[in-house]
Amino acid sequence: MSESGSHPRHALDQLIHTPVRLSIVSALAEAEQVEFRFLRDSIEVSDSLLAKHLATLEEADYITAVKGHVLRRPRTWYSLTANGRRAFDDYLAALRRIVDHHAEEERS
Amino acid sequence: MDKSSSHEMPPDEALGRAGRMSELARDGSRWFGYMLILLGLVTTVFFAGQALAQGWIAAAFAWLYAACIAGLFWYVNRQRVVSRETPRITRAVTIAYAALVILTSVITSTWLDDEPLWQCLLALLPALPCWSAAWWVLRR
Repeated sequence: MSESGSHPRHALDQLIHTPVRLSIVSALAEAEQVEFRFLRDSIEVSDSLLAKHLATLEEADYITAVKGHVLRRPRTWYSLTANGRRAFDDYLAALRRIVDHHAEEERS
Repeated sequence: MDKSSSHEMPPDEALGRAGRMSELARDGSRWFGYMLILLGLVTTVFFAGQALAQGWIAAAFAWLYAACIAGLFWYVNRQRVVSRETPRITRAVTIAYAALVILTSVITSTWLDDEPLWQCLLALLPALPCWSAAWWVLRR
């Protein structure tokens, strides 16, 4: 999903670089599994919008979903794939490079 | 580069958002550590109660222990975030806890039958794997 070019911003994964998807991936990177309702309540979005972003990440093989039941209630748990974790690490590294680059530009 | 021109989010805002979500997920996964602290405490109280009390009071401690275990099961099923440490240590803690509960029961009912003080000290034994695992989970 990267653009070509030498500026650090070209290394930003545009699939992650939206507020909702970044929030999803950040939460999943910190945990083994996160339930749908936790993501919805933390990110403060509707069920349908969250489901749409989750589907996008799932299609890109960044996350996996496990459906199950807890005390007879349906639950969906999400976790980051190895591919997704790598993409998120690269994304964070690119972000930090941009911030550093910007700071250097301001200094000079 | 104008940090906000070509993207929906400026990079520093994106970093802040990522940090906030990581923190929320980390806080949401701390339940496992609290659950282990409670399990250790409940188990110690149960064994100490068996050592010091008799008759219906000892039976009440057993019922209290069973009710707390059921409560913890309910609490676990309500949680929505599983930390990365949880799958790694659950098996080890479960085996150590079960083995030490059996060992403590055997020792207190055989060799230390008339030694309530030693029984109370031994009541701490099954809690040790729970508390050490809780420390490991909550230290982050």
